Amino acid sequence: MTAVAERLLTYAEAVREALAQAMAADERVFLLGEDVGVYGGAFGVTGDLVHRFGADRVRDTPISELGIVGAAVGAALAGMRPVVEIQFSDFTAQAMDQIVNQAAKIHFMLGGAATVPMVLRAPGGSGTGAAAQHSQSLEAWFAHVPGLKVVMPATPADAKGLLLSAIDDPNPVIVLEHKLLYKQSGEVPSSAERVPLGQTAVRRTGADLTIVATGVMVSRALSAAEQLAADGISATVLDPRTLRPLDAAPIVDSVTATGRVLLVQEAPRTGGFMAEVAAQIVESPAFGHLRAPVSRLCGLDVPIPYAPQLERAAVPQVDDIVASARELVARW
Amino acid sequence: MVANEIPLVMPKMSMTMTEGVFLTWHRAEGDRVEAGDVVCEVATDKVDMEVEATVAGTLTRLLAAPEDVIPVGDPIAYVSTEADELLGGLFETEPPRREPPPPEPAAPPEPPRAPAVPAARRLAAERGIDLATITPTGPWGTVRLSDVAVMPRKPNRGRAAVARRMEASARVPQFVLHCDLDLEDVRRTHGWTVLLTHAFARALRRHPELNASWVDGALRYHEHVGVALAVDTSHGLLAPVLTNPDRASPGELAGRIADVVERARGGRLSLAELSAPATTTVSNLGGLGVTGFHALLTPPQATALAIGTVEPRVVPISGGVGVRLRCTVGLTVDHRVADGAAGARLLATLAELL
Repeated sequence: MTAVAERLLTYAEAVREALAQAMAADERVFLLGEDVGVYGGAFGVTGDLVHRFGADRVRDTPISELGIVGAAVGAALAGMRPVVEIQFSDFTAQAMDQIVNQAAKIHFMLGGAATVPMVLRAPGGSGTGAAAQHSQSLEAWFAHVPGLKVVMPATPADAKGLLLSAIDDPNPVIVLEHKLLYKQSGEVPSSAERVPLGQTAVRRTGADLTIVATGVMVSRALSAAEQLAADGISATVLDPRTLRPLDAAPIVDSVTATGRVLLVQEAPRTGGFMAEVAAQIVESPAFGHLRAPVSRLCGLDVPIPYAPQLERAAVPQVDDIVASARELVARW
Repeated sequence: MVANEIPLVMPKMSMTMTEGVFLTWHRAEGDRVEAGDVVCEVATDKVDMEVEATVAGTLTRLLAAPEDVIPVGDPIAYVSTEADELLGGLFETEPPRREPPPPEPAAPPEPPRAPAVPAARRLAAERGIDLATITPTGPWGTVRLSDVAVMPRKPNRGRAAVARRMEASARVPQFVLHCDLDLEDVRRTHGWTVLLTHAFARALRRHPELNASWVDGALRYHEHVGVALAVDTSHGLLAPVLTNPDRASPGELAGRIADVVERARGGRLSLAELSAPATTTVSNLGGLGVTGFHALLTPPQATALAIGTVEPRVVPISGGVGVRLRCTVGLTVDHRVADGAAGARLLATLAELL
């Protein structure tokens, strides 16, 4: 490939571009979900795609997540490449039987005779005043189910590149976007360049501690690292990008070098995905290099409150990351 | 036939060796070994050596861990064997053990483990520091990495060996004679270390009263001249011994020195080269820009020659001043063995031979 033109796109525009390029390249790719057509999607992600590709390929559905995912699983088994949009990731609870008991299992239970190349996109996370039923971070649910891949893009470029890889993948892939990121801009290649699943991104390098963050926490961790640098604390910031498969090697290598690790997630602490990352670190050769306990900074174990001040207080903010990192370095 | 457990012991590899440091296993517990197979590596204070299985059998118990200091003759591992049943008991005062040794003798209760972060534990192990001796400054009384990092370092083996020899040297009354050698007219066929070592060995041969040792209140004269050549290596100071270098031609000696220095720096000297009896030491710091220095004796050697920089110097010559190639040497002598005048005569012979 020659020079790749990069322009600023929002995260939502980057997702839309990936969908458009995938649909243009492969007629098996189609979209379905609530309000993805004429309305352009609850967060405006699908936009004008219905006009460009027609209502057959950008299909508005009834309000039944179970039905939407069931239809997508069936279409995928029949050789199509469905991309489902669920308006809020919280609503996947309605579709869990199709996701967990059908999409994730069929390939294995049929001895590999069938595949379910379905992508399910859904926005997660808090920060928009949408309250407890529209603000959750449910990635650990999906990561716990063998047979599913789980993707959490943190930048516009990854939103596009990872989604293209997800659509290519023969397995069901859950892509958890973040509502607060949709309007964030970043450089995005114009070509349909893939970002492979299962490659941790090194967002910043530093010697004093390693910060691992996902989703909206990546940009907060980078802001925190900037502030920490002013205090003379240099942080490495890693973004796994995909939870399943998890590319743990760069995390292990970095922790081996820094000896301190702060794991940052928006999701509640108990049973969160960063607990899995913590376990993989202490099970790895990085163990002997730890100079501090593996530390987590997580959302509180509460339903996300509606009151904006409480909503803010319920999940890690930049200042919280700075304070936790400072304390980790100072104490150890 | 009942399998017999034979201990594989820390070998005695030189007359002065009383203990060795275990370095690494080459084989694992349960491995089949043949007599002569390399089982592990140990280090004396001078050199790393491979330890071979003495009988064929199965490695049943590995007792040593890296950095363990083990007295000569103590077991490193046990080999279960049926091979030498016939010899069983022949060389032992006790009847051979017929049964596998009992499981680890009632181990004394483990001392409480000092809480420490893994990185501190690792660093303490690397440096041979007992965590229990460290004052923890971390939360919950935990030893932090920085608590270990500030502890005094345990010296490496080479350092410890030099320290031991030099402490013994401090008990020897020694004096130093300096003189400037004029090398202007010396044919520089080889490096200065070669030429000076060769000349010094020849000079020492002519002064048997200095090629001697003071041992237990008596003088002992040596038939041979053994020159320990001080070599600076990344593992510290090593002094391989050149036996009778005066009997080699300068050309042969140049080859021997180049070879021995290269192998010293590569850590490939044999124990024999390091522990052959030396009667003197030659140390040349001239290449590092040192004008002149005192060398300390390595007992029981009675002399040491310290060679400074060979350089053109302004010196008086008949009728004025001139520039001549000169070198300051220092001759250290064990005063119990000889007096100043004897040393002066040795230096005069050295100057004459050059």
